[in-house]
Amino acid sequence: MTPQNSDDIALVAMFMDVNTRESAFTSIVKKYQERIYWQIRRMVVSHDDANDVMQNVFIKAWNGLQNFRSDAQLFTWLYRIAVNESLTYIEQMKRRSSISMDDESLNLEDKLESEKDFDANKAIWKLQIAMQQLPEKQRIVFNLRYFDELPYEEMSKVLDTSVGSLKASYHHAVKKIEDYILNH
Amino acid sequence: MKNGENILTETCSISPAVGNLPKTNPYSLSKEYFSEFPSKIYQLILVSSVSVEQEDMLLTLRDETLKSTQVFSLPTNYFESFSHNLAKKIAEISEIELELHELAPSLLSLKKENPFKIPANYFQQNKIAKPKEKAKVVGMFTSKAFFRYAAAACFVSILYFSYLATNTPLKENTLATTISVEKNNNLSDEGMVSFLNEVDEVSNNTENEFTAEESNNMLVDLNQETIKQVLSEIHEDEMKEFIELTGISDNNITN
Repeated sequence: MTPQNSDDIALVAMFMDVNTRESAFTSIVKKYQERIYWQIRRMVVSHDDANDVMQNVFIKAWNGLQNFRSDAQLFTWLYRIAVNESLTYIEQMKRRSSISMDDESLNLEDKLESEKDFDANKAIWKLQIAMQQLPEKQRIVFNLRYFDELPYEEMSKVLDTSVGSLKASYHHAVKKIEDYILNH
Repeated sequence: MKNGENILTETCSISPAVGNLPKTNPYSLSKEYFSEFPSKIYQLILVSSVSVEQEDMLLTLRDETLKSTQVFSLPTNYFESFSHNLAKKIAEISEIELELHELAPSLLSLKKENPFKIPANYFQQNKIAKPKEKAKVVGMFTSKAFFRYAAAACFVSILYFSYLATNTPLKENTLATTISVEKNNNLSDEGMVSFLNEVDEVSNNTENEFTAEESNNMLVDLNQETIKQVLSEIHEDEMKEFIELTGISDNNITN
């Protein structure tokens, strides 16, 4: 049992107690909010959208923590909620754009360009643009592996996919990003 | 970080160009965001779910408020029902908001204002306007053409039925209808026998009638010469006997 894991178990136990619920939840949010936020932000790009998804994630966490099984890892569980909520949000944006016949809500590239300090010639922005070209699953895998440095075993729990499939997805994602960067 | 190094090595082996990219975060974010987020999310959760503890907290707040606001008058049982009503209201709102949040978060930001306008004091005007003129009643039989067509229809129907009455073989019809009626009425054997007798009588009568007709026709065909010839063949004594029996006068015989 890792120290991080034992810490999470203690936080969950505190959450189960009505008297310490608020402080336990605040500790959990403080502990994981940044990693969760950046994971979401790289998926939905704009801060407002990321903030909406963040709220959904932690409201769901509050409602679900009372039934949380201690054998599962808190971080993996939170990541899983974040990934699902991001995908749901993107799906809603797609539906909204198909109804309104307006691509702006879906065009993540446009959102990237509206970011402060955006420079298409800089490598860090090129990487972000290249990521937006990836299919959603590959984008998530690349995010979790490249930026969050998650081991494949943990990613497998988050995404409920086999390690082999994740390795293949990461390989394809890296190749596609390389192709974009070399040609732009 | 051993895992990080492994990932870098893996990425470089797939693509050195991507592996050597700087991992700098290009996105901007306010410095206060992460420090404020925990309290904000907790407030949001409070709004979305009022539990027993929060209700107790509201009750404590009520007691403290009561102590500090003795100089003001309040409706009776205001605070007793306030926390309950407030909790109920919050629960209702939060349930709706949560649902809307899940279905369409963008709708939450929209103001629930009514875009429609109504004339000034519309709801204060309770008068119901009476109809100015009485509705015109249109009679069904005012048209003269109706009577013309009705009279024509009556005349045509009278002609038709009179034609039917004169050209229909009445006796055959009555016989046929009688038979059909009798068939339908499941008669007993005796009934059937009496019915057949009646039919025989009817047919005999008709035969006699036809014979009389034939004789009449024959009389019509006789001319005066034939009659004189027939009369000359009768003996005078027979004639006298016949006259005495019938009582016909001499004038009638000569004629």
